[in-house]
Amino acid sequence: MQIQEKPVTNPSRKQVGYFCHLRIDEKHMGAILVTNQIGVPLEFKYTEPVVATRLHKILYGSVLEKYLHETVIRDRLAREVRTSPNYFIAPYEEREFLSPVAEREMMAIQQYSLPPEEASGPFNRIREREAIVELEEEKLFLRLAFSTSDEALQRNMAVWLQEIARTMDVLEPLNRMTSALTSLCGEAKRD
Amino acid sequence: MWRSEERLAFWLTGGSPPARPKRSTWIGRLRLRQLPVVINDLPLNIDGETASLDEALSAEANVKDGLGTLFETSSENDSPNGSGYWTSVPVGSIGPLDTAVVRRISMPEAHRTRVRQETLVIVPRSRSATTEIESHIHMVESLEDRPVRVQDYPLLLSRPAIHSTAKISELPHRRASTEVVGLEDSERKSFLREAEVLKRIPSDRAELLAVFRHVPIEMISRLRFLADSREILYAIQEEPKKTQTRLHDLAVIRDAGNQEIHLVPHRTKSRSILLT
Repeated sequence: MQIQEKPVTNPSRKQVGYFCHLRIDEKHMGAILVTNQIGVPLEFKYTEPVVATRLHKILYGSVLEKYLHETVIRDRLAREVRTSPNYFIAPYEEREFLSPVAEREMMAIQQYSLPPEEASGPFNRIREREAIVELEEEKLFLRLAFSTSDEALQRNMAVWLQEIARTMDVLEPLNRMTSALTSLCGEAKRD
Repeated sequence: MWRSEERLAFWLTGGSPPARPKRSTWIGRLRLRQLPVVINDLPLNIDGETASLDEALSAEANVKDGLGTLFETSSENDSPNGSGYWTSVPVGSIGPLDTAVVRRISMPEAHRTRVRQETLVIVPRSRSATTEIESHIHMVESLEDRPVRVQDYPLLLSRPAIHSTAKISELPHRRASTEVVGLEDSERKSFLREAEVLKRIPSDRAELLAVFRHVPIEMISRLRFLADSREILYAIQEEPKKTQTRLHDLAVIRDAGNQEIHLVPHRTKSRSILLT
């Protein structure tokens, strides 16, 4: 399948952006995947593995991880995005490094177990930047961390996610990205 | 020892005051004026029994003449018979006893000597040297475009190259089943009814194993059901001109009669979507 490189700006069509940062041994890799509303890839970009040397670890100290995630990999990828996803989705582990990607807000998600009696609506804000969202048809809950603290925007993002969940498994592309990066990292090692 | 002997000899012989010794020009160095003395060698008998190294060995020296008269005044160290001088000397080595030699010193005149003592002042001489160290300063003009390298290692993390690949399209979609036990009874019955119509499996023999939501059946080229994990793996076939498709809920039903597994898409639980 051809990767679509031309900018797609039709706002009526939903595009889902995914960001994934993978660390394999000492190698850091990142990727951005944009799919249509059924999970078919429209664009996939990834970085070459970045290895922090001992000198880097000394020079950057405790900010190395943040610098790698945000500046070296994510911002670099963001400049290469040609499609126009509505929002970006990342694994929940990425919640500490959330910020807009290519001027699109980002959310980190994970499946969340919540007893039905404790569910208090489709959008339950639990922190300034976190909420529990119920996917109606799937009858499951997602824990969301947002890149923005604007509650109105968070609600819009949650509604968009619920809408996307009606046509695809919103978590599944993250697994594909991890598989793809792992495979690419293995190829880089062989090269 | 000999200094006190000289002093004693001087006082006993009633000699004239000694000349002032020449001041030493070397700090802390003792310089004595050489006296015109006559030295004779005399045999000395040493009686010993057994001795070991580092043991104090008593020795008696019989002074025959010369300064022997001086010892008469120091009664504490005199030998019991009053004619010898007792002392203790450490044994450094033991060899066959032989004739020892006592040097008799006869001085025609006694001299006083004075030891001058001065504080030794050491003035350290400091050395200074100018060392020129060349250092190379790396200017970071543009980190992203020109990463600085030190000994072939980049000093700062440089931008990684970005690649694009169609590999992600080759990876199968992996979907997990919804919780079958959480399905409403009406929905469960509707799936069984679909299996009866499409696959001719009587509802009393049909067993609902899994349900998958929103599966784009029309675009799937390959599909596989993983019974252990209750997942489906499927690949999407390329259809660039396709602008819309339908998403179906898909049930996995086992025929209890022959244990066959059937994938049954729900005909009515579907929706049409426009593809991006």
